[in-house]
Amino acid sequence: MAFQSILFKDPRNVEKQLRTPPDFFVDLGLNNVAKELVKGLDEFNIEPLFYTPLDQTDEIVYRQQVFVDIENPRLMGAIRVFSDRFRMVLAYINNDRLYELQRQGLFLKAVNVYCGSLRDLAKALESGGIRSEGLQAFRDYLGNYLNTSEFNDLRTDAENTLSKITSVELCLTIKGGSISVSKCDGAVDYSEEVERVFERFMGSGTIGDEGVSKPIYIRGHVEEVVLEFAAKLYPDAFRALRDFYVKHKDFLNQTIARFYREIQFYIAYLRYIEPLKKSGLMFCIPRLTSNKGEVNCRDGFDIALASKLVKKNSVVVTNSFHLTGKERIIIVTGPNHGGKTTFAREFAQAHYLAKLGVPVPGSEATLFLCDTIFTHFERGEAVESLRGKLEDELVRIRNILEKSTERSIIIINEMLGSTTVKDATIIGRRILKRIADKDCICVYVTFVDELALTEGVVSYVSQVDVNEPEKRTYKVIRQQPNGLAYALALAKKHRVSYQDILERVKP
Amino acid sequence: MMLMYTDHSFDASQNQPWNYGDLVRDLDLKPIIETMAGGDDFIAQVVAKALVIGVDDVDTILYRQGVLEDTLRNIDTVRSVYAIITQAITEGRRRLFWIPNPNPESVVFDSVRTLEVYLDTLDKVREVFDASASQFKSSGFQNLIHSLDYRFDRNYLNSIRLMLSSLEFPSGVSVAVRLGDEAELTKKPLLIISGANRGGKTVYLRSIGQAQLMMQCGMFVAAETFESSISSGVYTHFKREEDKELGGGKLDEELSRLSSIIDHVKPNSMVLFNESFASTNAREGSELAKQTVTALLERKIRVLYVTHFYEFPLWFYENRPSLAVFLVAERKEDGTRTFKVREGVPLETSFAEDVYSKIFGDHTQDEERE
Repeated sequence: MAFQSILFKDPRNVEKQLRTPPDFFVDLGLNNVAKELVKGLDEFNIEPLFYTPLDQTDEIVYRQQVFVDIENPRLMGAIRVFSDRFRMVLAYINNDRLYELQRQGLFLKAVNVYCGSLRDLAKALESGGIRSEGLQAFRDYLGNYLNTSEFNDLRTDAENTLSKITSVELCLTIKGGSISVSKCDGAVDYSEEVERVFERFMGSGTIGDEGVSKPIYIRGHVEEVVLEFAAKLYPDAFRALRDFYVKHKDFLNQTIARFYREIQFYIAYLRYIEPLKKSGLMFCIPRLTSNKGEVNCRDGFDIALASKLVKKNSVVVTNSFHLTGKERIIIVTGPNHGGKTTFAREFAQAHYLAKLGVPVPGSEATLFLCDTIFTHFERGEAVESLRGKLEDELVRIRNILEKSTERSIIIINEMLGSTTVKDATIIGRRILKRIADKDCICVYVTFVDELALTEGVVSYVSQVDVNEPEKRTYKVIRQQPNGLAYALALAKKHRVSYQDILERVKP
Repeated sequence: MMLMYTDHSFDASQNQPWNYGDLVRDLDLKPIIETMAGGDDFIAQVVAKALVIGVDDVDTILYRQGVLEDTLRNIDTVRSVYAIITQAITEGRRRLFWIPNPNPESVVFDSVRTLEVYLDTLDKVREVFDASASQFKSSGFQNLIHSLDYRFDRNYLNSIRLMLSSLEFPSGVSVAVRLGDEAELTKKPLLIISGANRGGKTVYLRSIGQAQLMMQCGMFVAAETFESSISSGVYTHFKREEDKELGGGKLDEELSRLSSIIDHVKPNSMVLFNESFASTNAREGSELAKQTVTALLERKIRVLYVTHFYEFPLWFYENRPSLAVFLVAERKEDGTRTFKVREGVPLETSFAEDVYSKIFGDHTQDEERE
């Protein structure tokens, strides 16, 4: 099948994009990730791509392969240059604030940049050792396109027209409020002389032609008048320019233009994770599995939090997780601020990002191809009575249980906080039973240690250093719950445990 | 001749107690201090210290209350004395301030003039009191009137201003929470206030702390009646909102503040906790609260604790019912807040099963499947 999309193996999937983020986006902190990813890219409308997870492994692999290919920095560099130049092409041809002759001139320039950028990109793709289905198909498509008579006509016409236009020489005599335009028949051109005199002030940089991302062009009405005079002096050149404009008005290849738009998704994601990688964090292409008993991720992290921390030059702590055999449910306990919720987010984010086909946090990862993720987080709005709060929580978990399938992932963060530990244990276990019956994967963050002792669940515990509690360790380790060890150790450190107070306050 | 103590004057230059900042902030004392001071920095300083330092003997409190009663009874007389004195002070200050060329001669001259102004003032004050001496019943004022002929000191005058200024104290400054019948409740050493967020728990706790301080410096209390035992020191341990970002360090900070309180408390002190240990999870927070409070009670220290924990009040409810009173921030059926607290069970514990059954159907099925 001819190449159509670098994002979708089956181009019909393009139509299935969602306009609004999934329900769990905010709970997982992904709203901030998406917002930052698309910053400055409004024109490409790539936001829906981050809202639309892929359901088929071959679609996911299609994108993953592209990411593997563009790990080659030379190829990535070439794609970035292509993208910048293409952006300029569009800026040139879509500028409706220009006068007619100016527009024609920029149009010519645009076509020249366009042709150059495509040839350079094709070269880079040929020599880039690409393995991905998507980029290979695009390389072939581009190669074919560059060999079409359509493209060759465009290129040669552009070159010819350009050489005619660049041969135009004008002499402008500016005197008071009037300008006269003439051919330069032996008139003295002072500009060279002036340039020579002022050379030392010019700096060492040279002004490139099309490589500069900011187009420099004339757009005023005076310039337009000058051009009109020039057109009278050089009618052939300007006729050629007009003919070129009319003939090639629709030169833009729509498939390539679409590639340009779609490749922004890859560029944006890599741009987002670049500072994280620089700080020493790792990303990997996950293997998708349909076996829940082989979920595994090493050195993962919460991508939203990491992005924030790296900006502040703070250290990000990584966490690993895995499920083996019949393990489905992870109970996360431990002191607050030890990274319990962060760990739950890490788990869910990894599975979501994997479904976008992008590299995920971690040095290596095998992730379950889930159908969807459900999150049950504490709600900000105040439900006032305890009964009301419990009701609200249970209704929400019931709805999740109704909608979930054996392929769903459920993330529960601090549920049943409005009841006693005894009730939270009893009800928590009943809910765990229902989740286990569904065979869902679940991460359940709670301060009820008893839940971590439920049969069949896996216990992870957040760690805080008693001697340096202000330091966020965010380390969450697979181990048995440690009860009140942390709080009591901290109380002892400050000599305010029950015994300490009795000793310090004299009767 | 002293209005604050039976046998000596109030020492305005003494240091503030170590927890002055915490008390002013936690109990929101600023409005009270500012209103009493009426814009005078010196008075503010005296008032703040008097309020926070308090006294712990009943005689002194009664002595001050007597002065206060007299002041109320003879409000016009005291006001005119106040006016005479403030005018003189203003005049005196103006003189000292406007010395154009500070050569020794003129300084002496102006100082003498200033003292003359004060002496004139003293005479005027004496005249006023002479005319109505029989109206003053309190030993404080009687001492004052009798000793006016002999002595004159600055603290004296300022004490009067302090008393006068307090008369302008509007009833709305501290939120009036009716103690009503519940005044009885505080006879138990532990008071735990739980219940809905923003239901007025903190306001209630604050009002008790303020009332205790005001009572202990012989002032009005913002309540119809207020009866309390005298504490040897009031201490506050309130949660600090602004430290949210500190994460794990916050519990550390809370425990460190608790430790400073432990350094100072003694039997008969009163400690007010507001959402303490909320920086950790409910389980750990409850355990820390339980240990702290149990130890303090054993050392005969009164404790008032506002909390949203369940385990902590429940433990006292089940294990130490004779020591504790439980108040619940009230909320009407429709969710509106009354800003009142009532005596109540710390936590409804019977509803969880109901709610579960209602939402998931008959839970016995769960048990069968288990």
